[in-house]
Amino acid sequence: MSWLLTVFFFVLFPSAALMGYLGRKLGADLQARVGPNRAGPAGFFQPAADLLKALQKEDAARTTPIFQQLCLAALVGLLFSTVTVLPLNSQYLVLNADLSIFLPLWAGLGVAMMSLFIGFYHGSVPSWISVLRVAFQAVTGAFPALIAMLCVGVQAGGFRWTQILDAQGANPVSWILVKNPAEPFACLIFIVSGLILFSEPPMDSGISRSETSGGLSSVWGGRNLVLFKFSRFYAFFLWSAMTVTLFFGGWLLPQWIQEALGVGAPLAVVETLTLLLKCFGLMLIIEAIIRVNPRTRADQITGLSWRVLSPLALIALMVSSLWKVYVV
Amino acid sequence: VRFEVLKTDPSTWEIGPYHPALPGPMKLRLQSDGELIISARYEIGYLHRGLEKCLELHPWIASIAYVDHLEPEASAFGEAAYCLAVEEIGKIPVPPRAKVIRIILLELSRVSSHLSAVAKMASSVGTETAVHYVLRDRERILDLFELLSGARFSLNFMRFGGVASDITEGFIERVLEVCEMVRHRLKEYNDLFTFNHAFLDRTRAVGVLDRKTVLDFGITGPNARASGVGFDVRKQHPYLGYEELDFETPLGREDEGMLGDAHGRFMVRLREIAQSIEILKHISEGIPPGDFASIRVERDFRLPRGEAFSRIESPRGLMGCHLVSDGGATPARAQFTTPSSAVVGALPLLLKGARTEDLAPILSSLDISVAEADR
Repeated sequence: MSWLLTVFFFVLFPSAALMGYLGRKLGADLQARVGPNRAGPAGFFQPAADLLKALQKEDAARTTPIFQQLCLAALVGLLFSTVTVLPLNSQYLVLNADLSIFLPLWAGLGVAMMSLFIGFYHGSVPSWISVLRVAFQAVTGAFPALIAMLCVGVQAGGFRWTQILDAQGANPVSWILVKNPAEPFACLIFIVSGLILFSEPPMDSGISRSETSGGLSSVWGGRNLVLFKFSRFYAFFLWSAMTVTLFFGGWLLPQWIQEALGVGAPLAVVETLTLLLKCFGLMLIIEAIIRVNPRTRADQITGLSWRVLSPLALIALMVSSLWKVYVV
Repeated sequence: VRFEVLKTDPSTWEIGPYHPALPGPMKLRLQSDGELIISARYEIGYLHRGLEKCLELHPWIASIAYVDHLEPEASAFGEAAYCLAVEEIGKIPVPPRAKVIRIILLELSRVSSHLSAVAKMASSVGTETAVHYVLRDRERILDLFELLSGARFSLNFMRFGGVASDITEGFIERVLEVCEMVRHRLKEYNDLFTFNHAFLDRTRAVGVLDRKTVLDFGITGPNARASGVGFDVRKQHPYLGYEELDFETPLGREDEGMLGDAHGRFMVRLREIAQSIEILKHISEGIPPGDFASIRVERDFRLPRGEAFSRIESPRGLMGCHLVSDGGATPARAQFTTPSSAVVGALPLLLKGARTEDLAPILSSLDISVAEADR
């Protein structure tokens, strides 16, 4: 329990605040405007102001029906169950099983199913359309994501986080990303299909398109809105942390630093910071791409997933397997 | 193998009167089969201000401030159409200098309005960065309006027989500076999103307006020109001395995609911005000396009996003003023809068969002004 609280209060909440701030500043820089500059020095407390504002937002309906609240609870519960497999550091890895890396995938599908229930229960056409888009996307995004994971598993010789990281090193030349010619493609497929699976921008046609205003994103107010927004951030963060661990060496530190820190809390803190640094870098790159590109249409997203990502992922898996058998 | 077809009823979806996908206060009643719109009906009038009736109730001199509100994005065009009709009835001459100042104002307004349309289009597909760039550049044009008239939107600058005041010192230099800036920026827009693959996917072969629909509904302006109908009032029925200017009317091209699609309309507007910049550069270099107005309009200004119909090329197409004078202190009848009314009429036909996700890009590519349709 104390571990869970530590993860939420010292990793996830500060990360959400920091990325909220950095994302807004980056967006402002790209759009030739100032960005947050009112709440605190250089607008640093803007995330706190955002939180207070969201908490004060009223629900569209005076009271959220119990069924919708239950679905939101299930959605959040499914998503946050993946905290147990969040690969933050080597010292406090709660679940390091053979199927650990697949849990977020199932959680993504579960989240889509709960979104479907919420939207259908809401009873408006924008809600139906938006949740159907979310569900279709999740189904089409899951397949290439799964195959991209298999590419890494084949290269690493297993699917435990420790096995995947044992196959890599702190040095970029030993990351799985550069282990064989198919892995860079697998990495790209994994990132894009993750955005599709969790309906993250610019693949968020079910949530943020203007014609679905009044849909899934508009159902919530107050605490429910905060929970919904935080779970969307968490999904993005989770996928980034997985990408970093699968392809970019995760929390791994150079040998001499590991030896200097020994085992225990200091090593855990430095490893977590290393992972977060890589994670934030990746998230900011994606954020920059999102800011300058149009939002993709739902049928184009599913088309991309079935016609481009899935075949490419299968080819990448074949190349990885052949490379493992004949070259390594 | 037997496949079972799941039969579902169409959904009825009412959008508006206030909705981010709409160009203004209006209502759309859509019937959709899944994501496909199978029928669309529209309802306008939420922004009806009784503008034409207002004109009949106010003295001639006060009416220019009212016609400003015909289309707030490009208020100079309402003023120009109205003044031209008054000048035709009263046979009031317009000095050459005033004509050139009017053309400068109109072309700047056209650029400003088209930039606004570009921003709306970018916003409709979720490219917020492009929106900020375009609106930042449009601010420079609004600065010029402020320098010239003291106002940024409702300019109230044209007068019967000329304009309210002469251009200020350094104005022409600033116009040329802004022209050069916009010319460079057009290239930036193209690099940023005009030929962005995702933007092309969202706008090509979407909301196709064919030539027959254009002619049937009397659609004019960039929307018609993108469908290959090369009608431009500045060319066909020149006014204010446009006949002396050498410029081309950009038309939609089939080699860029489907003729009359959303991307084609977007491209025509970008080309018209470039065209207006060339007109501005050309005309600013040779502004003639002389008076900026031929008469001074007093409070008790009256026109002789008569009627006139003036037409001009506004950023959205043909704008006409039918004016009747009975010799009194106010217009006996004032009536405007606006291009957006024709486009709104074609919406049911245009939206049928479109995807719900394409609704916002289609509407923004048409650059409908609900203000001028409702009047």
